[in-house]
Amino acid sequence: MARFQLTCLALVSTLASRPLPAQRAVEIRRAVTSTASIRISGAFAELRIHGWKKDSAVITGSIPNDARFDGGFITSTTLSTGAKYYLETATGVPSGKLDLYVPAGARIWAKSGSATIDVEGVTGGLDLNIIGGSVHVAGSPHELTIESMDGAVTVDGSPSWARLKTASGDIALTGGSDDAGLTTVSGTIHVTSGRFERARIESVTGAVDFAGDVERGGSIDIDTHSGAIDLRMPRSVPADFDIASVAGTIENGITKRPAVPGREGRGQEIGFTTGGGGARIYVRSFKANIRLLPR
Amino acid sequence: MTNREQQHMDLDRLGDLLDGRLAIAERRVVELHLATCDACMARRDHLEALVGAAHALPDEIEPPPRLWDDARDRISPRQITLRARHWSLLAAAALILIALSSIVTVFLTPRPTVVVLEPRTSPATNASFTPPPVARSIDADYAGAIHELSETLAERRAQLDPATIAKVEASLRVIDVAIDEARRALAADPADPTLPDLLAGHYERKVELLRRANALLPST
Repeated sequence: MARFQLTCLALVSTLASRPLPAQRAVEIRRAVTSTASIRISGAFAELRIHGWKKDSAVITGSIPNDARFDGGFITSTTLSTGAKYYLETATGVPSGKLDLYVPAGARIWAKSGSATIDVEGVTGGLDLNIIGGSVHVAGSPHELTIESMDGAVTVDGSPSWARLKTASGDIALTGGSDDAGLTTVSGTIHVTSGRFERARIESVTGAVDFAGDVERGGSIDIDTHSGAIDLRMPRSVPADFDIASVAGTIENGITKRPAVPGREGRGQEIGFTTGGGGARIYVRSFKANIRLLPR
Repeated sequence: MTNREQQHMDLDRLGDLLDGRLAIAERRVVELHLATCDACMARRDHLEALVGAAHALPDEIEPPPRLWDDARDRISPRQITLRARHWSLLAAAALILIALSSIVTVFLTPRPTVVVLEPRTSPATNASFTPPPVARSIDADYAGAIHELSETLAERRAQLDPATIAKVEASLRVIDVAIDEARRALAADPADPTLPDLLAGHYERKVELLRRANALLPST
């Protein structure tokens, strides 16, 4: 037993003394306009973007020694109007960790393979693209585009215009929008709060849970193929509901009106008005069950 | 052409400058030139404005929400009323037109490629039913885009990480199953007003997924 313990100790000691891949620091600073366009792409594993109230951009972090971090700022005037950087690692495996500080009103474009991207305080534009990993945005950018394959997308804020798209990654939005489009193939979509002027939510097999509010005169469109739909609305919401599932069922907990059989006795459909009407709530599914739940 | 004009920066170099592709030494040379040459600086500013404007364009421009509703209302069979006295003649003519358009569609329109990254038997291509004209019309609307995007992706699939390809293929298969089910449902009930929207939505998502997969390719 003692021999086994010694062997384990030696193994742990060997692993612990093994040098980590050599890293080098990155630190770039530049005065930029308040609406500068910053593009950053490549094999970073972590990217944190911070919007701040200064007219300068700072890139800090650490990257592998053998990585290539190249690019530069547009330098025609005292204040740069933008920058473009990319990170290339020797193995192609994402490994750099970067912090990007930008004026809050900047436009940021970031693209990586598999990465964790965290954003806070940006009020300008964000265009973030990953395959795996995750994206989390805290704040209310004017324009927000996030595209991911299986990476999860979480937004805590109210972007004026938002397009969140995944293949199998889950989407979570806490906050409203004037114009939101949430699309997934098989991920889930959760909208937990916020006011929407116009929202379009689409899924093939992923479940949709919508608990936001809709502006009077606004519209909420939800369609899925087989993803279950839960729509949570106040009973007094001023809205016209038009709900149908071609082969699924509808449970109406918002009014006392029951759903009726659909065409040729298949599926169910229901239409009703609450709060004097105004907003348009249009929900369609091919074969999922739809629940209208009071909030 | 004067010597000074010969020394002006060409557009490629200015583009490389804006894209951050110039080496440090070369960038300094270009920037020094820009500092003394108003013409080149103006061209650089113009180019930058163009690039900025292009980036500012939305990825997609959606039609007004009412447009599709209006179109659906117009084509909904439940709202078609034949007011002509000789309705039987009109119906016969319509049948002939539908038959002709179906033949033309079948022979001239490529069917959408269902699973695109590698040859594979798919539910939709094995379909043993005859889709109704409305389904064929929707198929045709997306066939070109799907074919083109699929071809590009298939040609360059080696440039993508196998794990990424697997993710894309898995999602495409999910969409293809949905497309197949929606088409079969339309074949069973061609007058269902909900199904065309759902089918078109699935095709939209397929085109979008293919577009995104293509965007992952290097230098696109």
